[in-house]
Amino acid sequence: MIKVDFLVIGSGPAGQKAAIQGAKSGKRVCLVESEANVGGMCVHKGTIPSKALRESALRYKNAHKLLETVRPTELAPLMQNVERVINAHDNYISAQLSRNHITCLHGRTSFIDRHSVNIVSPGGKVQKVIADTIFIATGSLPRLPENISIDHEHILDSDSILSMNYLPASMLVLGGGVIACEYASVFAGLGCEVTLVDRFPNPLGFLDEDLPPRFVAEFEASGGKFLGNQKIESASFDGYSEVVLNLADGVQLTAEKMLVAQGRVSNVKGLNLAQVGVQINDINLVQVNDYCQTNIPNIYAIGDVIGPPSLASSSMEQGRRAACHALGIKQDSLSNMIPVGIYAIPELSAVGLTEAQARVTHGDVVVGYAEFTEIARGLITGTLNGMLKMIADPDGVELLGVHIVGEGASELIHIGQMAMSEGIPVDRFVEQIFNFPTLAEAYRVAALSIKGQVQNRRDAPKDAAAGA
Amino acid sequence: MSSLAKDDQIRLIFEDQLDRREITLPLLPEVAANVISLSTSEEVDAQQLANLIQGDMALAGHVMRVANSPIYRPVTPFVSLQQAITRLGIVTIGEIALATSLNSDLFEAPGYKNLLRHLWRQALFCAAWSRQIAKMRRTNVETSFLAGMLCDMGKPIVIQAVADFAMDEPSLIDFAEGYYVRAGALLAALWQLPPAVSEVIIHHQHDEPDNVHREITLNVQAARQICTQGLEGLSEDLLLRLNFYPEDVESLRQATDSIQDWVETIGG
Repeated sequence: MIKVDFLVIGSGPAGQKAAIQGAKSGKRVCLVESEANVGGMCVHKGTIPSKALRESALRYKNAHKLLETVRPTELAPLMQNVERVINAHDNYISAQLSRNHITCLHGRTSFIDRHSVNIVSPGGKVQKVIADTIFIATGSLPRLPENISIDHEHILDSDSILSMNYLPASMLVLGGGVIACEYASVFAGLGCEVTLVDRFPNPLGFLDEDLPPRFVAEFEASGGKFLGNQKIESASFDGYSEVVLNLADGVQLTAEKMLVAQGRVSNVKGLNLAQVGVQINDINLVQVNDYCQTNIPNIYAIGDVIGPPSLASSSMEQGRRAACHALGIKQDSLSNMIPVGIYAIPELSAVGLTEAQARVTHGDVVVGYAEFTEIARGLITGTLNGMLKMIADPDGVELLGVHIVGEGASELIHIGQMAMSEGIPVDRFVEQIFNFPTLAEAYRVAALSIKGQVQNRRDAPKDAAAGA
Repeated sequence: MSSLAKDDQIRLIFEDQLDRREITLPLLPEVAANVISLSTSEEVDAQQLANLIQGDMALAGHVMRVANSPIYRPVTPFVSLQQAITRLGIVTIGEIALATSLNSDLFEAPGYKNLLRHLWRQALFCAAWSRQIAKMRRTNVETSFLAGMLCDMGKPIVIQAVADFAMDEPSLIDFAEGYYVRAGALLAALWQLPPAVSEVIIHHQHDEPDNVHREITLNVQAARQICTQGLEGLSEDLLLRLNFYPEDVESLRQATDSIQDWVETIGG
């Protein structure tokens, strides 16, 4: 039996940060991971492998623009970097945990009571751990639709998609969220004939309305096809050579492989949460307060297991904040300035309010655009399809949201994020001198547009009066 | 000549043959080559495979027998190969064809026919378990199946090469254990097997495989352990590497009967 102050279940971004925060505050911490390596799905099946494949797709796409390169057929060479990156990241995390004297256990956890759990190792050995505070950071799993049988050979999910040996010539991707759009655009970028099918009219519907059409335009320019407003009747492998997708309107689509990416569900199976009375909502998400504390005061839940935004970045912050709360460390209110980064081709990123949200909360907001075709760096790098959109309050002073599409969007967004979190007025972007040529110049162009529109609004009554 | 001296002599002769790559290796049957390509590449015409099977009366007959067996549960018996392909799919038919074409008859080892048959059944079991494990681990299913089937293919090659020395069966099995990986590697090169399959043939004996296709290798290692020692024989170390928990082992146990049926049906 092991007795500790903090027990953290799951070693993904949320679990790591909770564990390290606890250890740095002098607590005895035990971290349990059910997979063979620490890091969670983010490192081993999600964020890192898919981004590595994206880099390969970009290299191929750029090379193909210059030379008539042959479409790659093997997936393994495109993923060569992945193993190296994963190992390096794995070593980094392991060293960090070890340096902070965190006890790491490998096994599946089930609650016995509010303070104790059983941990079953892959070999079946059972170990009991007693802890003052317990953090549930068990992440999420791909959602399995009832009408589709995922066999991981022909019909795959986001956990098995990268097990393919060869790049298929054609692929159907079901879903319109981040994972679906990232993989759909990456495979299209690699020369695969991809059809993205979703029930909503546009993919990435949670983004500002100007961004999804840009994504679809570039995706279709890469050879992809988007079919929105579709209801899926059934999907299966024909047993011969193709997967067959039947849509409610009678249309039948076929492809070599299919990726089902219709969301993820929290991974709470086997935790025995009912035993301790931790509340779960009707879609299986663990219910928490602002400090990620469940209805059982000594049990916290962090990361994907509590639902959106389900980003590695927000999960890390949740882990840190939950640990701070348990430690009694005072904290500022949770920043609502969490940026979203979508590593599709093109890259998309956003922070703050969308235009629609801003119109609801602030009325007649001012919107400034900067097309990358107007930016020297965009012209030099050929990033011509990019755009930066700034949303300011009706006076054109307060920055309410920034939305970017185009290569480098997920880096570029942080300038807007910092400005918003520090309350820097829009004018300051006009006054600042940015490196030239850079895409950051887009902020200045968009800010100038806002400034010009505000001036026009002020001048309009005078002009009207003068005219009268 | 004492027994020991005889074994040593055989060893010397065989090693010399191996070094000079003079051992007899079977040619890869065209149907098998087609199925291997089918499972690893997009460039294969499934119709071409169907034509090949149809062109071989004995093979087509066996495929029909298996396709009509209870394991594939046809509502009404298939009356033509085309009908079986349409209903069961080219992948399933391809598997049957592969197992049929790569059988123990590829090897000539007078006096050891039963041993070769036993090895072939083991290979089928290994393929089926590898496939099952790959599905559970979200790793590549087709390659695991192929690698499982072919990883011990070196054994019949060794047995064929030294059959004339009339060793007793236990000694021959020991002898084959010592050389089958090298013989298998030669076969992999001759047959131009996919890199993942070749790697498994070469690395599957390593306790800690660190080859590129480590996950496929682990699948096959586990399948081999199940074939030789049963599910209870899966070592704790391997369970850790596979990340298999008691409930995963239970899932494997539940697949035992269907795997047994599949091997009985395919292997005859």
